Amino acid sequence: MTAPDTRRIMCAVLVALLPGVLLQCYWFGLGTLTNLGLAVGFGIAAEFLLLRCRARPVLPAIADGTVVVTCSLIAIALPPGTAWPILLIASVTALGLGKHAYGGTGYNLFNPAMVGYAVVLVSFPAALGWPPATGLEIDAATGPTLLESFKYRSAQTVAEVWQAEAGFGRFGGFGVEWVNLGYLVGGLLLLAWRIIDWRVPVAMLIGMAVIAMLGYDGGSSASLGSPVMHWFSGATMLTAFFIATDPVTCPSSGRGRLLFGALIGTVIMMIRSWGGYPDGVAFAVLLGNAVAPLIDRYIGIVDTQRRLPPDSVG
Amino acid sequence: MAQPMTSTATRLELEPAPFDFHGGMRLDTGEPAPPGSIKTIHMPDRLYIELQPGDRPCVRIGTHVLTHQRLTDGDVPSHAPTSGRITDIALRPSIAPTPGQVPNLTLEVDGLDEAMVLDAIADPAGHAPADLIDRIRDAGITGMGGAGFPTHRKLEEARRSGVDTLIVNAAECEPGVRADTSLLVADADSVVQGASAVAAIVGARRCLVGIEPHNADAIAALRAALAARGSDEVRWHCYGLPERYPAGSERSLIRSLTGIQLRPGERPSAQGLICFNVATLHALARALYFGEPLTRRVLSVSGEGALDPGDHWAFIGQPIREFRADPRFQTVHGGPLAGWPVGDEAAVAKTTFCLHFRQRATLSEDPCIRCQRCADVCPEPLYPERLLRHSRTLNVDGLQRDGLDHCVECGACDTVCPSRIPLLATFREAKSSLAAATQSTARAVEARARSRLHETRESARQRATAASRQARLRRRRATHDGP
Ligand code: SF4
Ligand code: SF4
Repeated sequence: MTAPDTRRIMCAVLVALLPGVLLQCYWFGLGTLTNLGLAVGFGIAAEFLLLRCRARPVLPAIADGTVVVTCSLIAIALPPGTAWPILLIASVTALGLGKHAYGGTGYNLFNPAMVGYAVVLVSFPAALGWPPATGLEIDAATGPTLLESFKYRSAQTVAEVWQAEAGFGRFGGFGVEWVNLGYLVGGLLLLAWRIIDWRVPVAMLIGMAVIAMLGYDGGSSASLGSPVMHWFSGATMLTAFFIATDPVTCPSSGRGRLLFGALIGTVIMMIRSWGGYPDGVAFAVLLGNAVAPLIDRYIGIVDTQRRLPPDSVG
Repeated sequence: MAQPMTSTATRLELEPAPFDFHGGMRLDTGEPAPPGSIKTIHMPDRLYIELQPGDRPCVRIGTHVLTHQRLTDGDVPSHAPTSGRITDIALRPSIAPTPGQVPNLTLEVDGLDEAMVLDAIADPAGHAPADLIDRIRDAGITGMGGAGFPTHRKLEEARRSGVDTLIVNAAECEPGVRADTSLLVADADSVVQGASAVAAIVGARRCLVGIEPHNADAIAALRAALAARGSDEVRWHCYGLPERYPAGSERSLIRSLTGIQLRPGERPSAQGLICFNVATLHALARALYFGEPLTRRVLSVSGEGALDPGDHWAFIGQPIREFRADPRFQTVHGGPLAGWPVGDEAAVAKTTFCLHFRQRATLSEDPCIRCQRCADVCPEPLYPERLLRHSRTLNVDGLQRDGLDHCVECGACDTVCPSRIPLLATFREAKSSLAAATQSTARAVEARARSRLHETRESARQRATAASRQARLRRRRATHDGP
């Protein structure tokens, strides 16, 4: 058994992102690619300057590929063709505030990509609406996404919303469902390559499904929408397999990871149903990151004691 | 204990081990090396015999010594591997994982190998166990697989606490090391004799042998030796161990063979077990049956930089650089996984089972990405990544909570770390600085206790003086205000 090094792991993550990214380009135009180019460029430049300021060796840190992954995640999460200043702000805050402020790779408390994304999301909410998927015929330029429809049409039953709105696809958001499927495939690749742990995504998806099931009563007006609809809308699969699984910012013990995933899934559903944002993955992940050390501390102790022979821990 | 109890005295066929240990990993070591014969000693010019703390040399500079002559007194004596003259006593780098200097005797070899007459015994059965243990101590036998614990103390401890099972570790401690296997192939009879002697000394009635199932030649040699062995009360079982690293580490071995998980720091004797490796049993048998002290051992020489890869007989005290082809290579004492780099000046010790010569690492380490690959393979099982964080900040509470003292120093975590972090080296350092800290705290506590004792005594004395003064005053007053 030879150990893959960090660079190989990051390359694998990038490869696994490909199916989702390609589908995203197909449904939402090539803006995602310009996003990627700009964000990664800004990110590498920012990393270079930050490392210089901190008097750390620059080359190995950039070559290990973590910056590319972080910035790619930001670029993918932001709507295609986002204005470059927003991408710049997102990349710089992600690396500066999200990573180097904590001491660099491996020491950060929060997922850097989500820090950058959340900062621009709360700062420029108007500029960050998703365009409609190609082929979706609605008149308004800023057509609602499925999750928005649900949020703002709470007086209608699910079936009514489904009919009234054009934002629906076969089982999730129109177009978005395929993109989610793409990230699901990528995530399964990562699992097969043993790059990520199965616990976080599985717990997160189950957590979402449980909350959705609790609220799903066959389609009344108070209904939250079915689990499958939630799995294949918004950034669910991207979050489950690529963002929440970041090992640096999730707990280390197996059971801690289950709890962490379930917590994120629950919070996503809470934000989607009752919060002020149509999709809340960034906030859910950040909240999960914030409690990860706590989970590690308490579940971790129990877990270490369980792993150690019974009467050895005083 | 869920052991298959058989009434026949000896089970010769190999059964799979009844239990398993946690974690570990399969290592791809390619084709197992063909069993080579053990290479003979190349006579060195000088030998460097390391003195242990508490050792007193019983030779002077200039003394001419014979082969097997005793050189030091102490808990475990050392002996001259060959004849020659003692020319120096000087500080030299030690072979321990924590670098430091230790006193060494320099023996200039005369090449004649003039030997002393040895005091051999024909049949240990006629001797009292205490006498046999004394002989073992006088022969300077220590554990030869790792920590080098004095064998006579281990035996005494086992006799005190009562032991019913002898475990023979016939598995190599690391992949790529074949020293024990070669020794078994060459001389399984002595190993079995040694095991019988140990069983007789400690009163063990059962002997469990753990061996890697792929070592067919060693298994065959062991079987032949067992079949040829005289009859005694001991029941033998041979088990094939799980083929994962570190199956040959003492705690994993005990876990696989008996299902018992030792607590940290717990000696096997507390569970009625005593564990010996093949090399130690061999040396012990040579000491009892031939009177030979421990002055040579088999070691595996491996790696790209090895002069003559394979298994070698080597003198204790032989300079390590004699096995190296080129000074560009780094010398690792112990196997490639759990070994540690040593300096060029070091010499073979009683615990040197392998010398590995490898290219120096060129890639620097990356930050830990907390991927937990290390936790997946840890046999103990710990979270090495947490220990790493605590070690770097020397967070004593954290280290204790996450079980640094459970770490068996197998190096499995190092091997899988994608960031090439030297985890094991960090843990060794943390352990030694922790030990140093505990020692100084112990000293501080003692000093505080002493000063408190002093204070208490002082204040007691003061109180006593004050009380007696007051009593005097009262008496005086009483006489004044008297009736
Ligand atoms: S294997 Fe290395 S990088 Fe991964 S958690 Fe362990 S120490 Fe960190
Ligand atoms: S060296 Fe210690 S921490 Fe690392 S795998 Fe072995 S026992 Fe576990």
